[in-house]
Amino acid sequence: MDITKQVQTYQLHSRVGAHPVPIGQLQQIATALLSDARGIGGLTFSVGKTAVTTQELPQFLASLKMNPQQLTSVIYGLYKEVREKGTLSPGADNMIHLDESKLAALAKSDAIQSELSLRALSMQRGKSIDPLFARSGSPKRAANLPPSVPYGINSNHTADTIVASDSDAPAPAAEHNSVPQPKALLSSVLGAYISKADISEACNILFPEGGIA
Amino acid sequence: MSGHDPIAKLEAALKKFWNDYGRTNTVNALHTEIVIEPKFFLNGKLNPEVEDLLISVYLSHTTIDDVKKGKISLRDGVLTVKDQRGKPVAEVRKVSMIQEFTSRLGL
Repeated sequence: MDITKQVQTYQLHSRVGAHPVPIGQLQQIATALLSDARGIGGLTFSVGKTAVTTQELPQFLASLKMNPQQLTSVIYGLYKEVREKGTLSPGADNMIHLDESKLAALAKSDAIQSELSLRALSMQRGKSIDPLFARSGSPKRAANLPPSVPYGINSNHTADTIVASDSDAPAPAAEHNSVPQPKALLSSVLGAYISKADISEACNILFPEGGIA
Repeated sequence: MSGHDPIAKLEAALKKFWNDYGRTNTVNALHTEIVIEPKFFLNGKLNPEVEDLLISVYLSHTTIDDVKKGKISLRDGVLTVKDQRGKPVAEVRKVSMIQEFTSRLGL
């Protein structure tokens, strides 16, 4: 094989965006995005003279001869621009104005397709689709967390922290040491700093239940 | 006040202990230096971080004889420190601490 061709092939395969995303996953991503009211769910788009609701968007995009990959790219791109970047917002008529060239650009965007491939790969590895929305603060994700995790609704932690904690590697099992007799431990270790009588007195106040912490 | 307050005395002792063995974190400003210390008691219990340090220091002073005498036992991944009556004083589940202990004593 010609060396130039080899390099081109390598470059093609090394790009994340080069991996084709199964149609089932594209559909899953698109459905989730379209129904997300914090993103583009419930909005109306104006493309030229045509008004299209979010639910009608897939049919409309299909009528522009877009394949499922391009169609999902457009939906994902719109979601990002409305929800994350804030570069698209409804006008005075409560509609988001687009033109076909904008849709075509989103459909062909390498960056979006790469991102979609990453999302799909994550899903293939058994990860939830949730990280896709976690930056928007998915209440579902928060509700699924155990109460001990400080990511409640009133928490100051950002959703980005949730993404960071949702890594592929399984979380290590919680390891906690326990001290059934703190008085005995304190007496053994703190002898150089305080008398045993003082430790005993303090522990009787602090741990009245027989020294059980 | 602290002369008669046993809790304040214990807290002062823990503070000295922390300064000797714990990680001292300081924040340096232009004219001040703030030393960050843990809260030694949380919700009526010892701060787990302080607990871990106490256990580490305790274990660092143990010998192989303590294991032979049964003062320390390792079973099912739990290292148990026992008192003279054989009752558990501390149960260590942190793998890093157990590994440190076993490698130090060559177990």
